[in-house]
Order: sequence, then C-alpha cells, then structure tokens
Amino acid sequence: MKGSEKLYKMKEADLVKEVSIGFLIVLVLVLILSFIFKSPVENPISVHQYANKYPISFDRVEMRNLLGTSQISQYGPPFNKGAPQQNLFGVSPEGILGVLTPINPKYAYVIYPLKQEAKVNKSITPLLTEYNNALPSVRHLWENNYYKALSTNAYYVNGRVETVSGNYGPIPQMISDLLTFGKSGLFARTINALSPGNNNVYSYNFENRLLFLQGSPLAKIAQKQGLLGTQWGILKEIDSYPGPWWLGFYGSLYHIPPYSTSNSGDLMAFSTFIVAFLIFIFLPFIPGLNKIPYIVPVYKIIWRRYYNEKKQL
Amino acid sequence: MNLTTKIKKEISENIDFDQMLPDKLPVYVSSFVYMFGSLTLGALIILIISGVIMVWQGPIWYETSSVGLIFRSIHFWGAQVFFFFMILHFLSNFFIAGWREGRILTWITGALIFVVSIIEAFSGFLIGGGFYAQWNQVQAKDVFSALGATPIFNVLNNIQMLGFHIIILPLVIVILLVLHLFFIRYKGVVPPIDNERK
Repeated sequence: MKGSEKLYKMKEADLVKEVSIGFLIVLVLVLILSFIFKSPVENPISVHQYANKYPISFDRVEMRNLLGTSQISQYGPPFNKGAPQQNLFGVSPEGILGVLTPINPKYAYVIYPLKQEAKVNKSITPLLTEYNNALPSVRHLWENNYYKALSTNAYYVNGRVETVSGNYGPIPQMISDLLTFGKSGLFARTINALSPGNNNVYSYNFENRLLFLQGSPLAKIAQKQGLLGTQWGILKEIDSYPGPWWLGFYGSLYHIPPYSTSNSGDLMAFSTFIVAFLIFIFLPFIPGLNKIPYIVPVYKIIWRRYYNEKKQL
Repeated sequence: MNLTTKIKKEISENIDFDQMLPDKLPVYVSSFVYMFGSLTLGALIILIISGVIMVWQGPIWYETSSVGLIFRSIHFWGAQVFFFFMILHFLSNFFIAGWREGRILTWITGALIFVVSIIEAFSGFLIGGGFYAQWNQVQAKDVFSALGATPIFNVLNNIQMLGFHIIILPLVIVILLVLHLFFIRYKGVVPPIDNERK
C-alpha cells in the first residue's frame, strides 16, 4: 500500500454498492428530467426552405457570391485567399497555415450549379456562353447593375424575382434559373457535391451547404431564438433549455473589452481559455491558488465528523 | 532487460487487489461529497449506453421516432447531470486540496477529463441535426479557423465531428478515467488537512 490510508483507523466500506447507488440515483434523476422536460428539437434550415421563403434574399446572396462580395467570398484563410481575419500580437495562425479548405463561392454556388442545371435545361447553356464570352468589365457592369436593382427595387411575382429593366445581360435569367433550382431542393444537393471529402456517390460532409447558409439566413433565426453572440448565445440552447453553462467563463469573455471590441475577439478569448485551463490543470503548483483550500475552511465542514472525533479523543 | 518481467515485478510489488478494490476505508471518508465522483461516473455510464443506442439506430431515428426522442432526451439530460456532478466533484476536491501527498496525477487526470469532456459535449452540440447544430457550426468555424485548427478539427464537417464525438473523444475520456481511478486507489483517499502539517 503506497497511500497513507492505513495510517488511519479503518471502517467497513462497499465501493461497488456506492457506485451502483450513484448510478441508480443519476438514472432516476435523468429519467425524471427526460420525461418531464424532453429535449430541444428544432428542424434544420434547408437551402430549399430558404429559397422558397426568401426568394429575393436568395437572389441577393447569389449575386454577392457572383460579385465576390459575400461574407464567405471575403473570408480569407482557411477558405480562400485574402487577409486573415484575426491575429494575436501580430501572429495569425490562420494566415500562417493559409487556405486549407478552399472554396470559391462564385464557382461553387453560381457557375457550377448552373452548369449542372444546364445538363437538363438546355436554355441555360447560351446564358453561360454569353456570360463567359463577355469582357470582364462588361460582366462586372451587368453584375453591379443587377445587384443594385435587386437591393433597391425588387419584388416577387408569379414565382419570379422582378426588378426595373436595365443593362444586366444574361444575369437576371441566370439568377432566376438558380432560384428555380434552389426552390426545387436540387441546388443544395448540387453545391454539396463539392464539399471536401465528397464524391458523386457518397456525401458525408455538408460543409458547402452550411457555408451557403452562414450569414443572414441562419442569423435571422438565431436572433429570434436569442442565440446571437451579443445575446449570450454561446451559453444557451433553443426554447430556454439549458445550454453548455459549463462554458460560462469562456462565454462571458465575449462581453467584456477588449474581447468584445477587438476584431480578433475569438482568438483572444480562446487563448485566454487555454491559459485558464493550464492554470486549472496545474493549479496544485501555483503559489497562492494552491493555498486557497487552507484559507477557505470548507474542508472543516467536509471532515467535521473526523475532527470532532479527534477532538473528543 | 526483459520488459515483461520488469512490468510484472513492478505490478506485483506495488499493486495488490485489496488496494485496488478495498472493502475497508479510512474513517474520515464519511461525507456525501465523496458521492460526487460516483455520481459523475454514473452519468457517464448513462451517456455511453444512451449514446451507443443512438448511434446504432441513427440520427433520423432519434430525431423523429418517439422512442428515439426518449433516448435523445436521456442523452441530453445525462450530459447536464454529468457536468453538474463533475463540477461539484472538482470543487469538493479543490477545497480539500485533493492533490496533496503525491496525488498530483489524480488531480491532473481529473482536470484533463474535464477539459476533454467540454470538447466532447461541444462536438455533440454540432451533430444534433437541428438548427442549433447548424448555428453552432457556422459560429464555431470562426473560432477554430482563427486558431488554425481546421485541419484537425473542422467543425463544419459533420462526419469528422461524429467521429470525434462517438469514438475519439470518448476513448480519450475512458482512458483518462481508468488512469484517474487507478491513481485514486494507488495513493488512497486524500487524508484530512492536518493543522500541524499545513
């Protein structure tokens, strides 16, 4: 026996019984909670739903992807080239590692699905040819004109998004075909085929589908559920169910400066979190912190019977 | 040197069955706080059993069928209860300075279980199959991208997160737990803080 247990008076104990009772107590508690409160179930948001419910927003997202101005187009590493978003003391891990899961939203969300759709809808091929044959400056003019029209004066009628007439080239019809594709549910399957690790037969990764919905499509619903970062969303679940409250320290960092004000808030908060964990793991070696148990006399309550018996002796 | 002989000798000299599974404990082990560890272990067992059933039947089953939803709820509340008792276990061991007299590895393995459990629970939130999972995935990608962790932990990749949640991280937790339990029994239950010795 290496331990110091046998320096003390011993008493009968039944560890197997204790663990079994522990298991039964927890089982009963969990079953009661499960049957009374159930668990949070919320259907996922599909691109198909989004296209049907918000056709004008869908078209705007597609135009931003075509223009290269969408959030994901301008993300930078690890998704595409560009300036890294976050750094800590001038060091940016994402910048150093570069593009690791490449995505080109213009191709992945606009050109590729149109090419796929063109296989069954031959009227799309001439649109793509006209677009590809145009001078880059002309393409850019069409795209800018149409995005401006969509942003300022667009309405949805008879299953189509309409705007004022203008110099848009083939763009309105291309985007309209993408909306039809989106509303059918086939768009989501098509864009997902390009997610890393997928092929034509197997799809295990839904990365590209998620990245299409990131930004306003998911944020609108998150805001209603109070799940935005500014609403303490990190610590919450939907419908007031308990969330990961054990991340309380990490979640609260996002609400205090400089974490709440810096562009590198995520990197700063996570680095602080790692430091906090190192302190936690090596707490017994940290002078001051390792003396707290002696100063706060909780141990006297825990071992009160032992101390009382010792006093009586 | 015969490694087998050396290990056999070390084990036979230092570890005995009575020490690993004792039927007698020191008198100071008499407080409900000693139950927190067993309760945490109980919750872990419930999580493993419900998790195995869930992965066996698949996400559509536990998202839509009435029986599946029960197991989903058990898994959800099991995680809440697991963290509740684990934090109580940690707090009580902190306030009795449970690392004293050569029990540093017991503390470190316990702390590591807590850290890995946080990642485990987080990966579970990402594969729930609902809006909450989607939202957490796109939000968390900013953190993990900023860290440069995408090549090893891509939160947008469901199959990778599923692998982490059902195999890799539980395996790490169970290995750490075996070590944690071994160290507890190897060194014995930490003795009371002695006024003369502090």
